[in-house]
Amino acid sequence: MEARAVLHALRGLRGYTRSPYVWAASLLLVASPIVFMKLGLPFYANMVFLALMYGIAAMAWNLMQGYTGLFSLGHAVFFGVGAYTTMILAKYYGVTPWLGIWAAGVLAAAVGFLLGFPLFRLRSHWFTLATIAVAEIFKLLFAHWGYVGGSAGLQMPIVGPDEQLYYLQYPGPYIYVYVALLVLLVELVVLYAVVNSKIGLYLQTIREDELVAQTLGVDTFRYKMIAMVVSGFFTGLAGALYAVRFRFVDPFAVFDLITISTYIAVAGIVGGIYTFIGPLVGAFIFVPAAEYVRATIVQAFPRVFGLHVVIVGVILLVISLFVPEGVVGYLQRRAGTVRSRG
Amino acid sequence: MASMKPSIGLIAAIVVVIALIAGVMVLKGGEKTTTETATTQATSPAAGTAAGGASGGEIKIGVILPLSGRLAETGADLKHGIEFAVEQINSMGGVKSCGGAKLVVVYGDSAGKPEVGAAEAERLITQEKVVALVGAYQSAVTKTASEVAERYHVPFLNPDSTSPALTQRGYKWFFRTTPHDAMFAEQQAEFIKWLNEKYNLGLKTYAIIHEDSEWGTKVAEAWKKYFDAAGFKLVKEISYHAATVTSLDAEVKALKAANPDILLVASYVQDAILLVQAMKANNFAPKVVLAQDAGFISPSYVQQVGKDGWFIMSREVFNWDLMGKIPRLKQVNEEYKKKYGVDLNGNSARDYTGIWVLYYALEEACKKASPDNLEEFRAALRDALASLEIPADKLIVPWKGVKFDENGQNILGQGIIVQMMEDGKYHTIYPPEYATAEPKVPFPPWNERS
Repeated sequence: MEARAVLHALRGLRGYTRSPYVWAASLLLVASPIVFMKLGLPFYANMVFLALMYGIAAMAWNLMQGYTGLFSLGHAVFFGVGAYTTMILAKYYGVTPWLGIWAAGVLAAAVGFLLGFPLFRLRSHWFTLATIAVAEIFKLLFAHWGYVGGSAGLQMPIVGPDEQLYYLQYPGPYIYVYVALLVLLVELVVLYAVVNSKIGLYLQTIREDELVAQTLGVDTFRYKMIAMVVSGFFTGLAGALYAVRFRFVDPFAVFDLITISTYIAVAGIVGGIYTFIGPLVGAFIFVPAAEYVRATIVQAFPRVFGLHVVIVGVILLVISLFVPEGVVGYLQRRAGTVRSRG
Repeated sequence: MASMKPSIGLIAAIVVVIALIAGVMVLKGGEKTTTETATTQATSPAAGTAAGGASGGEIKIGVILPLSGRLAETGADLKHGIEFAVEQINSMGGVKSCGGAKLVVVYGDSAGKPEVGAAEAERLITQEKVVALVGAYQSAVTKTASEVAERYHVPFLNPDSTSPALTQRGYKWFFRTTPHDAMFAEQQAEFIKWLNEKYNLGLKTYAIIHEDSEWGTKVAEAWKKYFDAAGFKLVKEISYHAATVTSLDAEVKALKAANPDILLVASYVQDAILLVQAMKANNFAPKVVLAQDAGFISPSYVQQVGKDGWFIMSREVFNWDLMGKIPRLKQVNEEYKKKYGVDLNGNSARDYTGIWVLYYALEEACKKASPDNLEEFRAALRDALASLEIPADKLIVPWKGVKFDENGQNILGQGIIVQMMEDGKYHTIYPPEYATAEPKVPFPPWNERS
């Protein structure tokens, strides 16, 4: 029943193929690595990669926050599990990351499924606090688990040129932008279908008032679980991209509360949580801004530690004061197309 | 636009203004040194410099350090050591066999994160076209940054990470000057044997207490390997989690029950303080208490334990009393203190040394290739590093010299053992050629102290 609804919703995608904005954005994204490669600017190509990685995770996060009203600050759990899955499959079992990435999504989704049972007993901010705790627990678990390298983490050995394609090991960030774009494309299609089908409607009912939704006969537990599993799946893919791109994972990097969980949430909030594409746009605003501020401030004031964090904080404060609905939300309001379905 | 709410344009303008102010500060600002280029990753010209490695009598090296984030303070310290070495080399006429080319450093900030370190390595290699990379302090960042360097065939000199795994990867372009944790453990076993011979202490059994992160765990593994091989018997091993530990009383009771001759400790600051307090409370006094620097050498530990820290020994890479033993060090430290207001320490001294080692290799590489041909020059530099032999009298650190094995590990590096004496300061007691004090053994029982 749900699968049919999802397939039906896919027809709505045809409208986007006629939008000049979509074409322009796609062209820019596809061309950017080639342009940066020709100019010899890996730093900017890396920024595009990071924005895509965070954007993929932020859109997945928003299925829970914007659509279902489940505020998670523990998405590093899915990210980390995804990163470790791809790494372990490649390092210990010689599985190509081309498959490992999707396996990472499946395992992260499974983790989401298991976590749903205890977490959905909690409401509102208690749920949020619990997600933070779970991510921290995972960090410690992985740091003490010898099989996954403990606190030292895991690094892929360098392979010869004949195995480059199989193990997806290329110098520079360029090729990985395309891998990320492929993942993003899959995500856009699946998420669009989910939120524009009946599932999306049920999720929004839960967001508005869970009790009312229950009295209307919506199986709230089941639909929250669907949101969590789909969200976990795509956040796991983002984590897999990290592992493939940097060929290294350690628990303190991939289960980090600030640079993973919080960045994902901030990207979503900056872009607009009640819009479909907002979190992706938010990642393209926030990630480069944060990186740029860090790079310039550290150079300018080498002895004032942490100043760049303050400045990023001020920028976020300004955004939240003037455009509380997020950048995309604001633009849509001005264009007079207020829709919670982007 | 004229509505009550300011537009996106206004916000963008604010952001741009802030960024511009920061940009201007970059050009004006920070610490003025002739060697620091004012390019940042965000403001560097799109084309980069046309010529790489050496242009206009300059040789570019890339340095990756944690200049922001949790370890920013350590990073700033390391940066001083590097700046200072570069300044000295340039004022002495630069790289002579390259026609007096000046060293230019381009910094990359790792923010203490492995993925940022890797991206910075890519930028420095392909955008800035440096001849070599130096960095990156944290073992995790060194792992990813050196992996990028290996891939691009660029020499990577690591002066300051001590994880043994770094030189077990079979890399060809990776060189580490500092001794690593396994070498330290081996040296500590030798030190205990030396104590037995010289002071007839009859030390036979040992116990280990360590924090349970990568560092503490690996240190404990190395200790067991080398102390067992030296014929000592392990009677107890205890680990704890440093971030959450509030008391080590139960652990100390268990250690006391095992009654070891030697206690080996790998602790950070707070847990080191807790350990000393618990030892005093339980009157636990093994004949030798030997720590692995970290917590035990931090100023806040020394301040907080006060008298209770007396007679505890620690492995170190550097100590203030070496000034009297290493002629070069005294002179370098005086100039350094004049410039930065602080003495050299184990970190800044090691990074300072790293730049000098690279300089000696550059002198050799310039005889074989020209920096204008970047690829050839990087390969020549790698070969120069691989066959480098630097005697001890050219260094300011207490090593036997610098010579790399096939894994890129300097085999002539060593630590020193220090002991806190009754003036509340650490004094070097081993190896004998650097010692300034006789070790006070055995460790006196707590109830017999004044």
